[in-house]
Amino acid sequence: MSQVRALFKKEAVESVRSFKLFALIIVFMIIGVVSPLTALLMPDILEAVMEDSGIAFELPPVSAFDSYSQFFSNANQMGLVVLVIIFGSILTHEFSRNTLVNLITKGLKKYNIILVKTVFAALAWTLAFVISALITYLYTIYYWGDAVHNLFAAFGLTWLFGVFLITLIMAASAVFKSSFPGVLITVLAVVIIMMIAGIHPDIAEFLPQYLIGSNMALLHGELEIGDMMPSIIATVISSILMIVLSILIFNKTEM
Amino acid sequence: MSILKIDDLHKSFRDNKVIGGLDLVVEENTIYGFIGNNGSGKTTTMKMVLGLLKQDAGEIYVNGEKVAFGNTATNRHIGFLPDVPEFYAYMNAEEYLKLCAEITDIKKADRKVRIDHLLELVGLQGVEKRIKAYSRGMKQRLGIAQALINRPKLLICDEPTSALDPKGRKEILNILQQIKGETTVVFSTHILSDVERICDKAGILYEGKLVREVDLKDEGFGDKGIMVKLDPEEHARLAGDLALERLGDNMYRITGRTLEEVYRLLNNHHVYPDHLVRERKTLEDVYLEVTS
Repeated sequence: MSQVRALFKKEAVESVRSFKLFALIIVFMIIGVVSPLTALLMPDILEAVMEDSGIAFELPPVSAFDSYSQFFSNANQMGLVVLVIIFGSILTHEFSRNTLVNLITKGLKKYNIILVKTVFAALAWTLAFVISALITYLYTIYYWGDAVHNLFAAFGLTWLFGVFLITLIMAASAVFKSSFPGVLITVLAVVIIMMIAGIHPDIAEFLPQYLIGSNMALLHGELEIGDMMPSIIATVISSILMIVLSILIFNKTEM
Repeated sequence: MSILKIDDLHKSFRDNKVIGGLDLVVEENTIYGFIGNNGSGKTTTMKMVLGLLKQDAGEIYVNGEKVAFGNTATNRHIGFLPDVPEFYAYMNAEEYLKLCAEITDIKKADRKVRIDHLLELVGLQGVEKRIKAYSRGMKQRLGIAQALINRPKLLICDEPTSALDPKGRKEILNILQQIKGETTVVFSTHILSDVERICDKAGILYEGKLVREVDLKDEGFGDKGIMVKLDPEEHARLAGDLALERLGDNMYRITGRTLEEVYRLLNNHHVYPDHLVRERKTLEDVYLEVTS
């Protein structure tokens, strides 16, 4: 327990002093603010563009759905990319700088390294995402006041996909050791493979990718949380397998 | 009692055999110099002792316990100073040692005292700046402090002085000498003068094996005899009583006699040479002898 506490504290200090946690929170705060703001300003922007081009078009009134649509679009793309970039080196930089040798030769268990880093990254991700979602939620309530169906479930899908990416980063790091580009390419390759596999409708709902493609369908009531279960279960199992795999590979790694 | 015992150790990296049948025993409370060329397998051996690398064959015992690859329990007896110790640059020395103390599960009440003692030992007490601003020598000293945090029975140092300036080297060697009573030190190096200066014993690693062990505290180590310069008349006077091996240029070697005996005989024959010296083989002589 002492090892877990010490390592967790070290991760916390590192993320603060390296400004990584700060950067992640700032990016997600921006997403939280920009999403409802974009929805709010979109009619004016479009109107101005259309006036210039002389096209006459009747825009539907902006609603809370537009705000959340912007939010999920931003969080699922830019947000997740930032998450991968910030935490992609969480293990590789320890390998490349050889900083773990001192600690491992003091009896630090390798599985503790994987578990603590995963949990810490997941907590940081949770913090940043909750702040972002909360900002969008409060702005949306303020401007449109609409109650939206399945909102927190829709938030949960993106959050779970973020956790899946973190476990994927850990597994890729255990394989590629000191290669940060190796980790990024692996994450990108897995996402692309999932996108291609997701073209087949029978496979799509069993893929983690399905989570971030279904946020708005959940809000519109086209899907219910029960419909997401295959994808949720597949994502949770994949994440657990990824962690087990990371530990097994790391335990066999010569240093 | 031996603190480290290596039996018939083998290790290859693909087709490159690095260690091929290494046997080594290090006794407690000694300083053991592990000598070898660059790439001779010193670091590989040390990493196998620490369970960081897996041996192909052979066994390693630390304090009588067998070393296992991975997270070996024997590491609780060991402190390790890598050749280039790496730390978390955003911490200061005290924060880093605190992290090490927590990982080694040192009781909270003892941590502060231990950390203060080690910082004083390595001359880093009161240094508040972060490690990223440390010189190479300071990092090496912090490396020793972190390696000693758990009061190890065996301190393994991988080329601790090779990248340091003379002042830094002297500081590290002094620290290693100071801790000799508390722990056994094994340090690898190719700087033979460092070994001669502080080690009790030295082992020469060559082609994956320990080819020679030298007891540096043995008075008779490397004794090449007494060299004396004599003119022909002096030589003639001594020749009956003293076996003189001619080396050329009126130089002779006397072997099998103590310095006291030689002086007495010279005095008895009223021979007072202006050049007389006891010659010893240096570690370098031994090293070159066994590795060439």
